[in-house]
Amino acid sequence: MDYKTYKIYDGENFEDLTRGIKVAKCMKSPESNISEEDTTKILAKLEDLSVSEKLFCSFCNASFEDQSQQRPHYKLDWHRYNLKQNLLGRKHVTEENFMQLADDVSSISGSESDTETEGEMADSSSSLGQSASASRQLKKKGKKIDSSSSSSDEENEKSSVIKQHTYSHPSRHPKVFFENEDGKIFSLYRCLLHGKKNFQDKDEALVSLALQRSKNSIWLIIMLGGGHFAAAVFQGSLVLTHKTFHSYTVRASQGGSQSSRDARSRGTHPKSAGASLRRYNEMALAQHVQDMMELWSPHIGQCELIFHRAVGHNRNVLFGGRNPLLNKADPRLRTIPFPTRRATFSEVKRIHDVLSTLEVYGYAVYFPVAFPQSPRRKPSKTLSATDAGTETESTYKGAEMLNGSNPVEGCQTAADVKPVEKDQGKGEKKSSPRNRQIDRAKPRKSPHRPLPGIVMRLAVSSSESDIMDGDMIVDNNFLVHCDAEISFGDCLQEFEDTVPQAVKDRRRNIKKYGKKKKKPNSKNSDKEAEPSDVSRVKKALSTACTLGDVDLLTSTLLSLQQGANVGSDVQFVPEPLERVAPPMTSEEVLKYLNTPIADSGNTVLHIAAHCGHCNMVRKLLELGSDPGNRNLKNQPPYVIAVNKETRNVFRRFMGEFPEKYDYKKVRIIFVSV
Amino acid sequence: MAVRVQFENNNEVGVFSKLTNSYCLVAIGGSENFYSIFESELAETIPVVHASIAGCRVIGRMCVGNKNGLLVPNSTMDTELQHLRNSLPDKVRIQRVEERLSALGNVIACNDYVALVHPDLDRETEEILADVLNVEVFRQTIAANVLVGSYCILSNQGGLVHPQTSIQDQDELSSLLQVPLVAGTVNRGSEVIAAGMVVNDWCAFCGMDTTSTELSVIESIFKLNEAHPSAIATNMRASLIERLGVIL
Repeated sequence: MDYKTYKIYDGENFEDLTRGIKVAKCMKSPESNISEEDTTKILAKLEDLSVSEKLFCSFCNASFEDQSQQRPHYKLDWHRYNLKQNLLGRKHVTEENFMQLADDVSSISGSESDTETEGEMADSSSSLGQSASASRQLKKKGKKIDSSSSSSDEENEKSSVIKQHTYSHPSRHPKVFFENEDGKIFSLYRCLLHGKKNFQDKDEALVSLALQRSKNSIWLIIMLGGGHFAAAVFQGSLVLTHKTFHSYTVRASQGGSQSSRDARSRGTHPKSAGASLRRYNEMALAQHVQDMMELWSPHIGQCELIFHRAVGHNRNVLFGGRNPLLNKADPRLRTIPFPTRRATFSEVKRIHDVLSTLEVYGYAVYFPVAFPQSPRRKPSKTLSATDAGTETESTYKGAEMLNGSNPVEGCQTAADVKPVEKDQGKGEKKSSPRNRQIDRAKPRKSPHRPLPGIVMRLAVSSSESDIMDGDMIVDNNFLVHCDAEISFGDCLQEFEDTVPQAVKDRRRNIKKYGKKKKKPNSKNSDKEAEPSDVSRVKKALSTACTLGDVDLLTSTLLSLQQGANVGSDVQFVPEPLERVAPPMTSEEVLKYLNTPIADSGNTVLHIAAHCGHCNMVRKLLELGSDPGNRNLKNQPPYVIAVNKETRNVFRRFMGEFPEKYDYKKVRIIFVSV
Repeated sequence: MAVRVQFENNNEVGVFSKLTNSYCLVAIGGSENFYSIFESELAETIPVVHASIAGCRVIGRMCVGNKNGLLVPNSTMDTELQHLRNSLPDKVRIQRVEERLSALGNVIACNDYVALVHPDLDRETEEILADVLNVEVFRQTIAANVLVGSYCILSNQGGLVHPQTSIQDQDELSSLLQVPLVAGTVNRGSEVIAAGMVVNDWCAFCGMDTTSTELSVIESIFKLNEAHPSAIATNMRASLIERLGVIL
């Protein structure tokens, strides 16, 4: 049976529908049924409290002979698995089947399994179950599917929805649901039956009130708000008279009425033109309403029901004053039980239409699925289209399954949206998938969330730098970054000793990267020289510097330039160093003078300065050993010079050749120390 | 004897207190009313202790205990643990457990002999539970709820379970736990029973909203009318003396 609407002033249909009606079962909540007798019954039951002798586990469908069998059962994985199955609404598993399952999955005990394995198991079993249930559905087509035998997720949701509905509190619902002779469910607004003062709970009272609704009753609907007034008197579907008007009372940008603004600031009322205009208009509106109501007084006297909406200070217009327009105690007074828009005549007509509608939902058996729990909030606009689509689809499927014999009708039930009652229709459409209880025991996969853009970029760059550590790949961006770090270190140079070790270490690493940048340039030319040769040269140089032997140094360098073998036979060639060598070779020599030759990262200049060989230092500076080089402790040669004389050599050299080195960096050191 | 109390205008007294047969923990609140009601009822028999667990006042939901011991979650601070150790009787064992489901009060319901636990509780925790509290542990759900600690409350005399627990389930549980059970509510229809009340063998405290019907159900199921701490000496005297007589 699909969703239909009738008007209560539509005589024949109304009588047809309301033949032999009773209050629908869904209206009766178990809690509300607890009456005096029930209480006494419960208390009587409490008199003979006893420990049950039932040796049975309904979750596993297992019975026991005695307690020694019963107790260990509740610790078994089998029992635990069946508990979970039960929570998911699936059938229990027999012990043999569970053994087979357990063979596939190594362990399902709480401590050893994490949620993933559980999830997998549930997934696999559910997929199995789904295929099984599909075949079952084929067989049972045209029959109602027993909810207890259902195993697919959708059906579970349905059954849980049904279960929940029976436990809800429909007495708070703005509508009353009736079931008629034919077993159809229909609803009326509760406010048509009784007011808030004389609340009726008894079924008989509700039924008799519903039948009393005469078809030609006169209703008055009054709406007042925001300076708008709209009222109309209806007889059946006919509008006897109506009136709307608007006056300027609402403060334009701030909102709220002038009187409430005045009430807030006691004593001092704003004296602006607008304020006084609004004040005047408020009074005029109240007067106008009063005049009009007096004009309508014969109608109002005949009215069976008076619906009104007047919130806040608007209430005072209707109910305030010395002789109010409407008596608060009037039993005909009702508020409008749903949201309304601005007070206009069309809105008043809409309200009348909604209130006088009698909604038929179809047969009671299928009704709980479509039961509108309460008017739902509209779904937020961000809800994706696909999401909404699947939802409607699932609703459709569920309805189809439950209806079984006539799936097309079921589809109409679910998907029908009445234009008159937009929000209500939507609530209904959503209700079934939305209303289900959140099952916290159900294992869920954690949703995959993409990282925000900046985090993503950082993650990528950090992984890149990791690669660089390993493979020494030169990346321009990265090197630029490193350079900045180095200059930062230089700024800290004057606080040398206060820098903590960790920072130093880091800086050293950075320094290394900095060197790496240069390496590929030198590496190509370096390739030919054998490592053993290099170490020999280094050894010779360090010996020369340690001893302060200038001659040895020059000879070594010379032999290097000439390509002779160094170290194995140290030749004494007292020839002054002339730049006769090809450019490639002199570069190589410079490299020897500027790269660390000892383990501590000292260059030849460091060694010479440390040993205090003044002429050696002078010679090295002349040859091109950069005083800006640092050792592993981040010290330049000048700093580790042993005595003042050695330091003076540096200073004098700087004075003589101000252009030779990049004193920009070095000068800091020279001045500061 | 069942007493109605409120914790700072909140009726969920089971959240803010923990009552057992050998001690009572009470949350540190803004006012001492709550504490003094407990103290006036219990102070002669068991220690009533101000406590917090992991810096929270929801101690009733965080910890689980009986006359033999007390389990607290891993997040409990050392100072709090020390305070508890100093305040509780020496024979009460206190143990910190590393459990994913850290609101132990919500996932475990126990009396002095048996405990119902959440089906997903860690095996290790289960062992510690059996060891420290000296109980037999059963994995179970109550009315399709895994939070057994929230939806049922047990004493050695009886138990109150979620109002939607089926008769069959009640019978099975009762035979398993060997105490009579009844389905009921507290705080004018609240189904979160353990949050709404605390009980031991001779005393119960429930929220101010609890109706007289609910109160009478509570009193009869937990046998609080005839109960007082010395009941063992009076009620069981006959059987004890009989036993002694046989031995002599």
